[in-house]
Amino acid sequence: MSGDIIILLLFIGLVIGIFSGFPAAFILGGLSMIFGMFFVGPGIFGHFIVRLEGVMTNYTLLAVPFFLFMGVFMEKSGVAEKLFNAIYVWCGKLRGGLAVSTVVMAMLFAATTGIVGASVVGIGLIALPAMLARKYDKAMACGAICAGGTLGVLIPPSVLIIIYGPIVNLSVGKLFLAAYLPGILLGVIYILYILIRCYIQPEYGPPISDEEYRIPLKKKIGLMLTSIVPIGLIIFAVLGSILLGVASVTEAGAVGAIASMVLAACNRNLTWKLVRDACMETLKVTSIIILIAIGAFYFSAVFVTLGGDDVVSKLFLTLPIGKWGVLIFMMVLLIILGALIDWMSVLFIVIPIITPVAAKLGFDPLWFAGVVMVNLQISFLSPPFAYALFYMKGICPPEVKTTDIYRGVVPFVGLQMLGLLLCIIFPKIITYIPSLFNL
Amino acid sequence: MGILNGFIKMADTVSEWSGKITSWLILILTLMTGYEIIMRYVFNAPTKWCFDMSYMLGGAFFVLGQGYTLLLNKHVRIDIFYSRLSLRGKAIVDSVFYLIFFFPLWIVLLYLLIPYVYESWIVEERSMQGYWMPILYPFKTVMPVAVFILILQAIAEFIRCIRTIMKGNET
Amino acid sequence: FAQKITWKMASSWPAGTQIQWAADFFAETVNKTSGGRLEINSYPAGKLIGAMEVLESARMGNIDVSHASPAYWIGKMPAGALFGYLPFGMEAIPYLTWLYEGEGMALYQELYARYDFGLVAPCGIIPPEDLAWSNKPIVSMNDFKGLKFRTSGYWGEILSSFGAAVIMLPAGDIYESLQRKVLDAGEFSIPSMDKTLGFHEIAKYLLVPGIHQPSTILDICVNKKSWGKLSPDLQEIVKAAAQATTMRMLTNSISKDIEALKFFKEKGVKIHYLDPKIQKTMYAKADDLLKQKAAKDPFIAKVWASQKKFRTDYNTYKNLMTPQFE
Ligand code: NA
Ligand code: NA
Repeated sequence: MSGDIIILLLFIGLVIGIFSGFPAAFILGGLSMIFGMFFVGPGIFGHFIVRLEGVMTNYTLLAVPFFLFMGVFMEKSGVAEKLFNAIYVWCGKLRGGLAVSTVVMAMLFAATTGIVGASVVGIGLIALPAMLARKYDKAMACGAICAGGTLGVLIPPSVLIIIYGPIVNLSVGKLFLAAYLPGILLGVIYILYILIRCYIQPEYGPPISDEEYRIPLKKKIGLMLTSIVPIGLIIFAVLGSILLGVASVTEAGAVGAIASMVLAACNRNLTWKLVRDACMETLKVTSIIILIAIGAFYFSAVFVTLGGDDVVSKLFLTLPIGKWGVLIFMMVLLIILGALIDWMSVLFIVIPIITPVAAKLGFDPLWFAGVVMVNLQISFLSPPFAYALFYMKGICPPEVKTTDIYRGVVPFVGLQMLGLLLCIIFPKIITYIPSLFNL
Repeated sequence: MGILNGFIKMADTVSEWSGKITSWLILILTLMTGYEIIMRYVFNAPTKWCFDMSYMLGGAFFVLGQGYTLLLNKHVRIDIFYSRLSLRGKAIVDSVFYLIFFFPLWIVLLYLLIPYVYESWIVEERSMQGYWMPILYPFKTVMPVAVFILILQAIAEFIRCIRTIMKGNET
Repeated sequence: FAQKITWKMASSWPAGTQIQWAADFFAETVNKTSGGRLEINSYPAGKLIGAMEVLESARMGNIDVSHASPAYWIGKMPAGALFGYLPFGMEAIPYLTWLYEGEGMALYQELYARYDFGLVAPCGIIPPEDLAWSNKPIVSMNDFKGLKFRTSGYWGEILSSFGAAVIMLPAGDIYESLQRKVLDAGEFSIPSMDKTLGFHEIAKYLLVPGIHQPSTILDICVNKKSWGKLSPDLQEIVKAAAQATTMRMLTNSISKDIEALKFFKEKGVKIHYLDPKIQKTMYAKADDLLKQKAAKDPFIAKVWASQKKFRTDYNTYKNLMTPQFE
């Protein structure tokens, strides 16, 4: 059988297997074994052993649990509530002001946590009841929370970026810097959308009452300071330790976790039970990510051994649609895959395949990585398979229907694509900050 | 049936305890890394052992909770179609895939891991990443242990599927 | 009519670097000289398997050949250091002489005996490495005190005994950590390798010579089954290609290192030659350290004794036969 046909069969098997609903990680591993045994031979198991060991000794991947651990503490630290109260006294008077506050809070919160789960839950638990009580449109409320929460994985620190860096051989610190402006850009786009939409249709986000708004300026400033300072300290702990050379990215995750524990302690939320739950939550999410990583590494062992990377690369390079055509094709492919399957499978399988192709086409590796990262964060929001929605469902009161959530995120997915397009048209959005640091 | 019940109970207990114990490693790792940074940055005296201990404990944290995560059914499923199936339909899909995609890979892997790790014990393998050079075989032994726990839990899940298919009366 | 045999060879070297050149050169030489009867596909580190996984992979047979250095396996075979690189070890010419013509080859075979490979053979040697890239000048013994230095193995032990704060980080993090000043100093490889990886962009100072690694032997390990499938003439072709690679790797690296050092100077890197007095002090320490290691491991003791004896003879020869007219 020719190599091309085997690769085709491998992909068909992957699609059927993944959509069967059996855990994706097991499908990746099992499929690799079957194809490996048939077309490579029993030696394939040697690959599986060394790759298992390779994942276990991967020092960079260790940043994943550190940042997850930090995220759980941030979620439960009580920081989000203080922050929300501080922000909405400033913009509550606007139509859609609470939703705007939600996004602003989400952007700040994103700078202290690396995962969508912590962001959506941490923000949603505070902002959703507030918006519902003030008769906000349910879909608008859910959309703002989910989209804002998704920024958690784009604005550094980010588990997505931590995993992404080593896969494409780019420094995580550099990718962190590259992700800032796109993250802020998306946040600003969301805010503009909310303001315009609610200005035209006030029923989506009525302004809060005058009584609630009438708070002395001094108190407003006080609220602002007491809530911004702790967030600022956390951001400084993580980013400062990376940029000032105190710690590597992996170690910075531990610094952030300790800082967020201290913050929770200051807010009198640090209990023994919280620590125990945080450890357990971190273990579960880490296990999920690592098992997919192992499965995907098995898959790529077979894929590369069978020469699949050459087949795909040739396929892309012979498409008669030019360099930009291929890029758009890749972007559309990623958006579709991101809607249908989990971001980890996309990241571990597709990124190693398309990145060398992009390099061959002459795209700047850093810029390409930035564009793909913006694209991948869409997958957290794009239904049907969207983590932000899953977490949102988990915290919604019964009067919010699943259809409200779905209806709410659709415009925001559109805005994410707009943001992606802007990053493609204006590459500086990605490359400007790294260039400031001479990277 | 009594034996099967006993087995499921045993597998669940092993997974649960391995998960609970393993989860604490992240706290240890966090504090350890904090200590290393303080020693290095404040006292200019980095430890010899922290780096090696980090990836060893981290590696254990990566894999020893896999059985427990399976018990909790947390591993990612793309359930666009799956979620529409009946309980029985789900059990059929799962049991077939366990037989084809799970057991052959992980059981053979366990079988091959044992001599692989045994070799490491025999040569008294040491880590070569740093200059502390600690013994490596306890860390390598984590691999077959983790795979064993995962297989154990998968067998339990498989038995549960078969029971659902046979429309057992028990829950 | 012999059937065409295809081998997979995985190395411990990053793609596009000078050391991967040796692996690729070896594969190409075999492919050409065997008239296409044996084809070796050469995979750099990370493409098929990770850098540190190649030995076990060749043993288990998921690849046919590994290309690495015996010194990479000191965790499994502590004596590997004496066959790969050693702080204050031999330079390339005496090292190769000991290995090819002296007692070295038999001892080298003994090193790998329990792994039961079809063939183990030296396949490349590299000249002295750069001693350190640093953000601070390192001139006196005192400059080593408290110096945050990334290295590993015996050299880490020696440096820490002189008061350096030896930091452990994965090799892939050296560049970034030097740049962000997590490290004061770090070493990676020979000038031409370091040039490819851009160390001159992030560190002002370069310290030479590579006393920690005066030369490095690379080698291939061939899976037993894969080796058995070769006809005797193909086996000879592989052996000859390995020897040819050893020689060409040395000359090719030296010529590229000459260019690289010139290049560093043009880029304004401050290159400093470490005071011979300091070198001698450190050599004494390294000697002590090896004495300790030899006391614990009889095979290390045996190899070290053989090397010491050879070095004495060689030095006598060198003193007599090295012309001094330049
Ligand atoms: Na973030
Ligand atoms: Na999605």
